[in-house]
Amino acid sequence: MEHLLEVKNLKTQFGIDGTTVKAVDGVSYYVDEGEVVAFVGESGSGKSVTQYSGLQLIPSPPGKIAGGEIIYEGENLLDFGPRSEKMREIRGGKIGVIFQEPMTSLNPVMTVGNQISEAIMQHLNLKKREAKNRAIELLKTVGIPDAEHRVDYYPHQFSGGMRQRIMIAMTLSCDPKLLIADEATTALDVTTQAQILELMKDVVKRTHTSLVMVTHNLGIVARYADRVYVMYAGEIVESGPTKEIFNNPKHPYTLGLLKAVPRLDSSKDSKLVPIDGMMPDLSNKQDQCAFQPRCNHYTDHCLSSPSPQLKPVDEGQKHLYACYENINKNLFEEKLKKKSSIQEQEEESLYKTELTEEKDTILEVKNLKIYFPVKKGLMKRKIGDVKAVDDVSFKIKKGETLGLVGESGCGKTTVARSILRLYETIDGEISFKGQDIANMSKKDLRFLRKNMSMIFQDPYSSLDPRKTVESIVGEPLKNHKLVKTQKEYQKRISELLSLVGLDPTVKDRVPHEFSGGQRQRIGIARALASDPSIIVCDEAISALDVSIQAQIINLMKELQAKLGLTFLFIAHDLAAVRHISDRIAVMYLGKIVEIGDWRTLYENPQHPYTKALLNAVPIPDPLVEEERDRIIIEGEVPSLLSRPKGCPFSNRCPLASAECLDVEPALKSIETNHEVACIKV
Amino acid sequence: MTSFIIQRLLQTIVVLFLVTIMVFTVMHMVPGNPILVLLGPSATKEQIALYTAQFGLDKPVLVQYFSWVSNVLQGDFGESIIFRQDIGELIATRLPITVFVGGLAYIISVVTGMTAGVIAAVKRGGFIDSLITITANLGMATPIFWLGILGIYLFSLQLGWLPVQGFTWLTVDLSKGIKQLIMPVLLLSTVPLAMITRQTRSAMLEVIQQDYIRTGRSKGLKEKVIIIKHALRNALIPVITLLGIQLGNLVGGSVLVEQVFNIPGMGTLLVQSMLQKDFLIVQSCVLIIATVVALCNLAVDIAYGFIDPRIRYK
Repeated sequence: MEHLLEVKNLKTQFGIDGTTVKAVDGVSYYVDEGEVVAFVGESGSGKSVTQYSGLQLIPSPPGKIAGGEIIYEGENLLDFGPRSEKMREIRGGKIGVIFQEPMTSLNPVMTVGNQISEAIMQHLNLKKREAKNRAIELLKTVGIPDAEHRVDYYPHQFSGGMRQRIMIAMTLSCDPKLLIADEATTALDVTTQAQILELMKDVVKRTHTSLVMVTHNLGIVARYADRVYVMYAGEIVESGPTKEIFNNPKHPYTLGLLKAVPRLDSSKDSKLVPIDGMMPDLSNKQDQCAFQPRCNHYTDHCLSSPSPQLKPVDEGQKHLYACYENINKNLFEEKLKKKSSIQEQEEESLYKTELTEEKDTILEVKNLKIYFPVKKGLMKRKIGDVKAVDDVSFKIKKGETLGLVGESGCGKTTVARSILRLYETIDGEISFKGQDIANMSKKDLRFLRKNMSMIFQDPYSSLDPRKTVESIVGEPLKNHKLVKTQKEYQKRISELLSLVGLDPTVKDRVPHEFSGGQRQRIGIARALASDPSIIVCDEAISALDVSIQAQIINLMKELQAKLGLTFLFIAHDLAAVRHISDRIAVMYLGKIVEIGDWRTLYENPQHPYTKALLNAVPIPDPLVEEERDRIIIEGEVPSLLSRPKGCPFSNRCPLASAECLDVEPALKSIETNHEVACIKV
Repeated sequence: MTSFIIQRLLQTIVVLFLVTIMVFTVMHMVPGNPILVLLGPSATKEQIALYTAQFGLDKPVLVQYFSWVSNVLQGDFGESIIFRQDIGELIATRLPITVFVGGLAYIISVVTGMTAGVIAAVKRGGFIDSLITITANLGMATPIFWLGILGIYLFSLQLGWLPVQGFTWLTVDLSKGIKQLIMPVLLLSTVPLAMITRQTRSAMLEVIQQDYIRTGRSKGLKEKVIIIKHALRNALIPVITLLGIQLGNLVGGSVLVEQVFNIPGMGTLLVQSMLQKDFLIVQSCVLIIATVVALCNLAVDIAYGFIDPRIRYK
């Protein structure tokens, strides 16, 4: 059978600083009509570059396609130049791309209608009026309410989820045969992500379009893809039908990835197994297995042989893998056990998350309210409040981790900031070790700053690029006068760096010499420097790749056990939060809607929002996914300015009744350690 | 947007009011007296006293200030001490010349500068880019008066192609007028042209790397459409800021160029009056120039709103 798209031995290279980076190195794949194909891999694996190469959208220079064939409908697209008539016909007309960042992928100074009609006029030869009508139709199809009016809106007048819908409408505008979704839902909230993915699935099914999904999220792959290509260091290392790949992974990298992802449904609170090391530098790639340095199963043969080629698992099977060894799940786990058996025994006790003894409360927040005034007009008159945090109360005990989850705009970061007293005035009580800090004077706050620290989301922008590791980590030591002599200072820095798993000799280097995971370790070392009793982690792992994420989660757990740290862990990734937290609070529109210990909350969620959130998270196992009920909640998180009157969730809740629109429910206890704010419970 | 415009208008009025105070104070603080300049060294005390009283210069400074401001508000700029002529009329003959020469230079620098900037950005790293960038850098680094003297020496004195100086309205004598205009206009546009080129180039380079440009390409749009419709409009935002600043600089440039080429515009009037301490003229000229610049900057701010809907809908 002829494939819709077939790529043979594609090589894409970037010339950077005189070296050649082999971003895509001999990749071959195909896409059939009506098929959903997923490309998975971590950042830098070449999965996006592969897709852009096919459309000749690689920025050139420095990029260039060094070889290969891209056959679409019997023609090799590489025979045509990137700006040729033919290529422009294919782009948008035959193959559409949905990009990752809905916030930046639309032109901010053009109405969305014009941006959609532009493509229609280009490919379908329609008049302006007809194109606009078609644009309105498309906007309706992708679920934009009031499309007749909104067609004349500008991108900034839409939310992220809405923009991604517009992006989809734009790609669909000329009836393409193939859609490429490049991390299309990565930047979106969990419930929006589920909506967009369902929308894409429906569209693809209805129009019999093929879909290529590029993603790092194995859950999405398990839920939606028919076939999978796993990429590592610019090569495909494993490919096959989704179920085959998840049930019987053969390549050590695929096996490693599956072990490193925190799962919502893992039976016990197991330790995540990170893949040690990091992706090799692709600028001086040798003809050798690229995964070997991070592999637990390599033999001498791997070291002396050229890069392994894809071969079928069994004769005639569609499941291919590129490895000299014959590994499977059991062998992989045995080796892992052997490798860490000694460590494991020592650490086992660390991962028992049940709190057996009553511990002291270290931090208590009572009726916290953070309102920001809204001003309008010439005189900047106050016309109302944005209630970012509205009457939030919770306690954190010494040595425990409280997870704070919710979608963007729910107020979780505002809570964190007010605990650190980053706002001038705070309404409510925050007591830390029995001291009221909500009204503490600036002078007394120094004590607080020493005892509380923060780990930030983005390891790239939260470290001063001009400072050495030593001065970054050492700053709190100097600031709080925690060391007396230079010798003591140096000793403490070496200590801190070893604690987070970095070699102390790196202290003279600057942040850009480190990878994302290593930078986050530096950030953690800085947070630990003043020996704080509580650390606020604001999305501390969400910018990291899966294998690195596991390293950092494990590190944080180890540190907690060793140093008796207390964490307030803020995140939107429910699986990761579940993995690290003892108790979890779910926030929605500035309020806590449900709070409980992790087991109760995940196994017996009561609030409809919590249920919807958990349901929206795909689990990286196609068999489990097949059996799950899918309830996709409608709508998006409303703006804080247009908060529904009664229960904040009432306008999206499937259970909502007239009463819910009136009465604002308070948190009530339904069992030990489990409170819910819903009148239906 | 409307409230934004009103707000900016109010700000403009405050600025102009401050300008009147500043220029008045400065003119009254510098040593020298227009009456002495007018009457010459042989004037008697009585003559001086008579003229001083006639022009109201014997009144207290505050009274002088308020009577000037209230007259200006009524459209009466007063009478020049040296020229013995109504200042309003004087300016009415001078201002159009400066606006014409300056405006021409401005249009040339905006159009050429933006075109060159876009071309350089699109051809980044190539020969044309290098050529444009080097020329722009040279234009910024070369002192204008030196360039002017060089131009006069070469084109007027050696080659005899262009007149040395003067100004003729194009309606009076087209070919003579154009010949007289070429050098002043080119000189005046050199610096703004160079700066606009550089700014456009860097703004375009940044915009071209944005995600929505990639989106445009992925839609199969023509490269021309992507550059002009998508990239340029976004790149205009920082360029327009510069256009506002350049307008102010152009005023300074006009003074210099009008002096060099002996063009009877606001610049020559200003310099002449300043040397002769004819402060009513200086005050009026500065005020008018300030008004023009302030209004142009207001226009720039409004232009932002037209280009960027994010500002319009705030």
